[in-house]
Amino acid sequence: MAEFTIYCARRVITMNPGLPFAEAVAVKGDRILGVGDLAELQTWGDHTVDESFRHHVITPGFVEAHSHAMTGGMWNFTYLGYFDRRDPDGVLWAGCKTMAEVVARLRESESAMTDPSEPLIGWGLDPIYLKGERLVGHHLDAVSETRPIFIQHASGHLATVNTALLAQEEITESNPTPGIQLGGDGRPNGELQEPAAMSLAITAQRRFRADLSTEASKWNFAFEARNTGHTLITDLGGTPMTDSGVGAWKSVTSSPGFPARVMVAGSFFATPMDPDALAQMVVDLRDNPANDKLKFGIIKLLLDGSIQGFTARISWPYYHNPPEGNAENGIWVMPPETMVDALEAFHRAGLTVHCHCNGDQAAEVFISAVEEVLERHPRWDHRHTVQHCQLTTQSQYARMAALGMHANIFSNHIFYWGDEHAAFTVGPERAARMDACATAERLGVPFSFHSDAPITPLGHLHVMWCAVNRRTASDAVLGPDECISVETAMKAATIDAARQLKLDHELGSIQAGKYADFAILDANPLVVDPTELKHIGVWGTVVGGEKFQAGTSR
Amino acid sequence: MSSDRIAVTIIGGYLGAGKTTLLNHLLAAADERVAILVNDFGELNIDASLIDTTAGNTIALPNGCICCSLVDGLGAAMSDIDELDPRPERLVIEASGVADPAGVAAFTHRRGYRLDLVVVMVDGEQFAENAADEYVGETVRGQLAAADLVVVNKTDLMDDAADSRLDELLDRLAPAVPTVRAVNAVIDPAVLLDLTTPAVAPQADHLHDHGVPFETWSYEGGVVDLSRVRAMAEALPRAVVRAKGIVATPQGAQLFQRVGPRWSLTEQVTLGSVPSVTCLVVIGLPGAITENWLEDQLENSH
Repeated sequence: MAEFTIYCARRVITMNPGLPFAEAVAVKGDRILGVGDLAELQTWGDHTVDESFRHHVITPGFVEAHSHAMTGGMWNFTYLGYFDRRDPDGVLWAGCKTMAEVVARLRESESAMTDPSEPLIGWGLDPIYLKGERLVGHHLDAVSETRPIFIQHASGHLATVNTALLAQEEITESNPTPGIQLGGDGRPNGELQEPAAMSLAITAQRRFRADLSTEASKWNFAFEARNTGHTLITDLGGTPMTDSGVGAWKSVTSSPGFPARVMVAGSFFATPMDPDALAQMVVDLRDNPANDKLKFGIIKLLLDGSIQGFTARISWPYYHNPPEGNAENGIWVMPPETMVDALEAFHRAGLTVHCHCNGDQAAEVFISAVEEVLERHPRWDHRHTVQHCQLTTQSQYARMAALGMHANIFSNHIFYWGDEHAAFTVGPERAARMDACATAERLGVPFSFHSDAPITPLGHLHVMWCAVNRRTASDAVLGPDECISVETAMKAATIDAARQLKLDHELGSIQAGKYADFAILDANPLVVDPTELKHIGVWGTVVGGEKFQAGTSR
Repeated sequence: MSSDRIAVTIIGGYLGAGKTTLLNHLLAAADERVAILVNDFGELNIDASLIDTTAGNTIALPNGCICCSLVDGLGAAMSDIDELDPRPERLVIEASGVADPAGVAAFTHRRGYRLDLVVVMVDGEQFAENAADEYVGETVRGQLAAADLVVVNKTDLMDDAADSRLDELLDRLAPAVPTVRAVNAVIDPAVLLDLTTPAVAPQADHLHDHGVPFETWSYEGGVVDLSRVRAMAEALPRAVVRAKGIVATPQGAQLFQRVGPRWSLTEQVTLGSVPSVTCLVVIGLPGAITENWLEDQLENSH
C-alpha cells in the first residue's frame, strides 16, 4: 500500500521564498512530505501519483484573518441581493434586478413553507439598485397578507416588513422609536431604519439570530471557505467563550469531513467575564487543542464603529459630507481610556490582541495603548493587530512597525464603498489613501487583508483584486499609489495572514512539515491579467490532505 | 395592558461617574423583580462567588436579580428578558460609559416594555474636563441630551468655583433637565422608581432619610379642563423630577405622567360611571413648586 500521494499540477506556488515554484507536492497523512519535481518526490518511497490537479494551479490555502461564522447562517434565508451570489452548496443565486424578481423569489420561498405562523425572512436587498418605486411593505403584502415577512437590507442597517408583521408586533404611527418610516397616509410603510426600529420585529429577529449561531451555519461557513479556496477562516468575535459556544466549534471541527480550519477569537464583548479570566480561558484552549482544525490564541476588541455609517472615530477634519444632523465624529464602542487595562490582561497572558479600528483616531488609541503596555511589560513578537485599519496614517504605520504590530486591512471596502468614501464619508484625498496596503508594505508593517464576511462576501481572490487594482463599484481607481503587486497580495492572502495569527509554523505556505492545506485554482494568479484576479475559478481545497471540491454538498 | 409592561430605567454617564454605585442603591431599594443589563461586565465586577447560576447568556444573582449579557445586541437581550419566568417588573440598563443613552432609550418602545427613567450620572470633579476632551468630549456632552434626571456625583470633591462652572455647563447642555447633587451616588430611591398611585405615594418626611432630600406635593380635586392639564404639564418647573396621577376631564379619565422633561397624557378606559376625581402627586427638589401651585394651575383663572 502506498505510503503517500504525489499531486502533480500545472504549477505549485509555494509562497516559500526559498523554493517559490514547483511541479508537484507530496502529501503524507495530513502533512506535506515535500515539494519539488516528480522525480525528487518519488525518492521518498512507495507512493501513488494523483493527476486530478494536473491542469490546476496549487497555492497555499487562503487564510481569512477577519470573518464571522454567522455568514454561513444567512443561507437559511432567502437571498434577495442585486449581485449574483453562490451559496455554500455552490448553487448560483442570480441577483434580483427588479422589484418583480424580489417578489417572485419571495413567493417561491413562501410556497415552500408549511407553518403559517413562521416568519419569512430575506436578506441582501439593496433598494439603491432597483429601478423605479422603492420597495415597501405593501409590495410584500403581495407575497402574503398573513405571514410576517422581514427583509434585511444589504447594509444590515435597514429592514422592510409587510403589513402582517407590523400588526403582529404592534408597530404603529404612535410608536416613538426613531426610524419607523411613514407612508403618504401617515402610517408605517414597512421600512424600519437602524437597529432600534429593526428590533421591533421581535419574532423575526429572534428566528434570524437563532439560525446564525447553529452548527449548520458553521458548516455552511466552512463550505463557503471551500468554495472560495480558503483553508483557514476566523470567527473574529461573536462566539461566547462558554461551554456551549466553544463546544459547538469542537463538535463541528471534530466531525470527519469538516472542510476548513477555524481560528476562534476570544471575544471580550461576547463573553461576560473579566479580562484575566477570559485570557486564562483562551490560553487553556490554545494549549489544549480539541483537534487540528480548531485554533485559539487571539482576542478581539472593538474601539469604534464603521466609516460608511459615519460612526468610525476619525481625526480632524472629521467627516466630509455627513447626513444632516449627524454628530461631528463617530462613536466609541469601548471607552478609550480603558484600552490600556484591557490590553494589558491579554498581553501579559501571551495572547495576540486584534482590535477593530476603522478610523485613524481609534487606531491612535490602540497603538498608543500597545506602546504603553509594552513599556510596562516588554514582550517580543506579540503581533498585536490593527483590524480594518482603514484610515491609519503613515505616521501610525511607522509606529506600528517600530512596535512590532501587524495590520489587517479591509481592502474589499474599496470596491463596495469606495465611491461613497470619496463623495461623502472622508472626501477624495483621504479616500485615496484608505486601506493603504502599499504604505504598510513601504513602512514595513506585516499585513493581511479581509472580507469581514458577512459584511462583504468571503473570497480572497476578490480581496486581492481590490488591493491590486483599487477599483470602485463605478470602476473608478481610488488612490492608484496604494495599489500593490499580485505577489504582495498573494503573501497577504496566505503566509502573512498565517503569521499574523501565529499559525505560520504550520500553515500559510507549501513546504515540508506543514499541513497539506491547498487552494486549487483554475489559473495562476501571478500570470493572469491582474484585473481578472476575481474571476479565477476555484476547483476547491485540500485540507489536511483531504480533497474538498467546491459546490459539492457534505 | 400598560401595567404589564416592564418599566425600563437607563443609567448613563461616562466612566467613573458612579453608574454602578447608583445601580446598587437602586437594587437595594427596589421591591420589584428587577432584571439588569450591563454593557461592560468588566465594570460591574460581579464576584464569581456571588453568582448562583449561569444559563446561556444569563447570570442569576442571589438577590433574585438577573444579569443578561449583550452578546447579540440590546434588542435580543430585551427579547430574552421578556420571556423570563417569572417575568421581571423592571429592567435596569447600565449603559456603557461611552454609550449614548438616547440610543439605548430608542430600544424601549417595543412590545412588553415602557421607558420609565433615563438618569445620567455626572462626575462632578471630572465632567468639565471630560466634556472638553478631543476624544470623548462629544460623547460625554451628548449623553445629557436624553436625560430625564441628572445626578451630579462626587460633589464632596468639588470646590465652590468648580460647582458654579459645572452649573453653567449643565444649564447649557441640559437646560430642561432636573439636576440633583450627590455624594457616593446616594439619592432618594423614590425618584428612581416609579411613583405608584397617589394613594400610596411616599410621604415627605420619609423621603429625607436618604441623601439629597426631595419634596412631594399632592393634589386632589374634581373634573378639570384638558387644556388646563396640558398648560400645567408645560409649566412644571425643571426642578420637578416626576409627576403622576389620574385626571378627570369632561372627555374622560386621563393618566398623566411626567418624568424629567418628558410628559404624556394617556386616555384611560373606564367602565360605568364618568370619573369625577382628579389626583396628582409631584416629586422634586425642595421648593420646586409652592404649596398651592397645582391648585392655581388647575383651578384658578389666570
